[in-house]
Amino acid sequence: MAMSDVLFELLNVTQLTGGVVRLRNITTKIHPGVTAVLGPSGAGKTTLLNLLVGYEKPTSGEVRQNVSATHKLPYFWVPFDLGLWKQHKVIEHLTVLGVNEQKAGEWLKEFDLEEQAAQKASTLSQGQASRLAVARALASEAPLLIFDEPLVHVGPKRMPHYWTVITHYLKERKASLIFSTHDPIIAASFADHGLFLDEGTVQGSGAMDDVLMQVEGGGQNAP
Amino acid sequence: MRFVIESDLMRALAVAFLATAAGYPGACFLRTVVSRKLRFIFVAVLAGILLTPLLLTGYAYYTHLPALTARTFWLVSVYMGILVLKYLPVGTFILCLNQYSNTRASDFIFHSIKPGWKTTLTYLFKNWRASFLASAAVIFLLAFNEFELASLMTVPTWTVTIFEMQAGGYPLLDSFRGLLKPFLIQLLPLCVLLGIAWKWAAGQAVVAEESLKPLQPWQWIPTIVAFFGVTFIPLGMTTLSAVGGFREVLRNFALGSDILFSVGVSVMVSLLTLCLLSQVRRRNYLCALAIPGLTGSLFIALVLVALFQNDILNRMYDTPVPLTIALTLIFLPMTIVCWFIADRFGKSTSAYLAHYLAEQTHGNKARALHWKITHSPKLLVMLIVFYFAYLELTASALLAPSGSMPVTVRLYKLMHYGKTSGFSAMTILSILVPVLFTMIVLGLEKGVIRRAWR
Repeated sequence: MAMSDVLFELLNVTQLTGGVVRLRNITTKIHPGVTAVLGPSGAGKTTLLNLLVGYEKPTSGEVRQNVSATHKLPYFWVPFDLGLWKQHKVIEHLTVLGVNEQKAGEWLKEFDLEEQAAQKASTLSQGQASRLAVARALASEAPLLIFDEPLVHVGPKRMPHYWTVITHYLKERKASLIFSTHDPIIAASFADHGLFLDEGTVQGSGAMDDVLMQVEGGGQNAP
Repeated sequence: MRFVIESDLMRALAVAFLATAAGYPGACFLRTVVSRKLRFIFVAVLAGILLTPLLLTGYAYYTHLPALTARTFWLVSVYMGILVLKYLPVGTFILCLNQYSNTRASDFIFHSIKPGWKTTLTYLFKNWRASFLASAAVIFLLAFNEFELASLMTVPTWTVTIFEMQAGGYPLLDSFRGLLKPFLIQLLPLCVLLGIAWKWAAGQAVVAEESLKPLQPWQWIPTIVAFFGVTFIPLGMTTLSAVGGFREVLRNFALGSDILFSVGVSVMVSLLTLCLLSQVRRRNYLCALAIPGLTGSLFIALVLVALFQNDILNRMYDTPVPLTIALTLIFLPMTIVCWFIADRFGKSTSAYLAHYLAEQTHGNKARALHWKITHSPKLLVMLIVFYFAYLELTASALLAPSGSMPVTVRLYKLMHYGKTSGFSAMTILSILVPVLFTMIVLGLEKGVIRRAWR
C-alpha cells in the first residue's frame, strides 16, 4: 500500500452547520495508522469525520487528502447514523460491494449476524445495525476506514472480539483507521494517534499516550 | 359579484379551518405511530383521498343524489362537506410536518402534569400555531379557487362566474376586472405562507419532539370518513353504474384521441417541471417560481390567454405550449414541496455511500442502489405531476388548442347531460389511464433494478 506520511491535512478549517459553529479554524494533520478522535458530545468529532470523507464541505479552509487511489474503494465510512440501506437485506449490504456470498457470509459470521443475513436492515436492533455497518466497511477491503463511534450500541461481552476482528483486518491489510469515540479506554487500547476536540477546536494531538496526558481530565469526559 | 365573493370568502374560510381541525387527529397519529405498516396504510389512505379527482366525486354525488341538492342550503352544505373531506389530507400532511412549532419541552411537561381544557388549549396553540396557519392558508387557497365541483353542483362561486364569462366570449378585460377582488383576497394567505416559508428557509423553525404514544383508534375516524366520502363511495357508485357500459365503450372508444392529447401534454408538463427543478438550484428562486401557482388555475389560465393573444406570442396560441406552461405553473407549489422531501433522501448518508460505491466500482448493483435511493423518489414526484396534470380541468378548458380536447374537458362537458352506464364507464376508464401509466413506469423501473441485482 502506497501511502504518504500524511493521510489528511486540515488547513484553517471552519465549519458552520445551520448557523452553529461546529469546527473553529482547525489546522492539523492525520497520519497513517490508527487515530482516535476524542472529545465530549458536541465537540465536533462527527463534523470532522464528515469533512474527511467529503460528506460535508468546509465553510472556510481546506481539507487536503493523500488517500491511496490504487484501490477500487480508497476508503470506507461508518457514518454517525450508520448509513444502512434499510430496505435491503443484511447480506446485500456486502454483496453490493462485489463480495461473493460465501465471503459475505464469513464477514457476517465474524459479527454474529449470520442468522440475520436474509432480514431487511430495517428490522435489525441498534446493536445489530452497528455491527452490520462495521462488517460492511471491512468487507469493502478499503485501505482506509473512517468510523464514527463504531459499535456504540454493542454490549460489552462481545465488544473485545469485534475489536480483535478490526485490528486483525488493519494488520493484515496494513490499513489505517480513523475513529471517533467518547471512551478514552478504547482510544488508549487501539489507537496510535489521538486528536482531542472540544467546542470545535483541537485541544491536543499526537501520540495517543501524549494526547491523554496533554489533555487534563481527558478521561473525565467519557460517559 | 360582490355577494358571491363574500360568500365564497366565508365558505373558503370555514372549509380551511374545518379541514385543518379534521386533519389534526391524523397528524397526531402519523407523528406518534410506531408501526411502519400502520403508518404506510394511513399515508396510502390519505394519498387515495388526495388523488381522487373532484370531478369523479362531484359526478357521483351530483347525479346520484339529486334530492339532497335540490335546496340551496343543502347544496352548499354538501359542497362544503365534500371540500372539507377532500382537503383533510392536506391539513394532516402540513400539520404532520409541524416545522414551525413554538413548543418547548416545559410546555409539554406542564401540559402532562396539569391536564385541563385551559392548559390543553394553551399547549395546542403554542405547539401547532404556525403549522395550523400554514395548513389553513393552503386549504383556503384551494377551496377559494375550487371550480370543478362548484360547476358540477351548480354552486355559484366566483370561479364559475369568471369561467362562464370567459367561455361565453366576454372580453378578456371583463374577466380580469372580475379577478381583481379574488386576487386581492388571496394576498393575505399568500403572505402568511411566504412568511412561514421564509422562517423555514432561514432555519428558525423548531421541530417539536413528541413522545411516542400507543395507537389511538379515534385518530383514524376523520380520515376514514373522508376516504369513504371522497373516494370509496363515489368510486363504488360510478363503477356500479358503469358495469353495463364497459363493453359498449370499449367497442367504440371515442375518447382515444382526447386521452392521447392529455397524456402527451401531461408528459410534457412533467418534463418541463423536471427541467425547472433540476436547473434552478437556489431554493428561493424556486419558491418565487411557485408563487403564481398559489393564485389558482383560473388566474394563471387567464393571464396566459392574455399573454398568448399578444402579437409576439400569438403564433403559439393555438398549440399545446400555453397549456403546458399553465399546468407546470399550477402544480409547481405542490411539486416543489414533494421535490424537497424527495431530495432529502438523496442527501442522507446511505445515499452518499450508494453514490460513492456507484462512482468507484461502476457495478450494476451499486448503480441500481444509488438510483433507488436518490432518483426513485424524484421519479415518483414526476408521476404525481403527470397524474394531476392529466386530470386538471380549468386551465385545460381555457387553453387547449382548437381541434384538441383534453379528456377531462370532454368528461366535464358530458357530465352535464346526466348519468348513463356508458358515460360512467368512460369516466372510470379515463381515470384509470394515469393510474395504468404510473404502474407501467414503476413496473419498468422495478424490472430494470431487479435485473441489475441479479
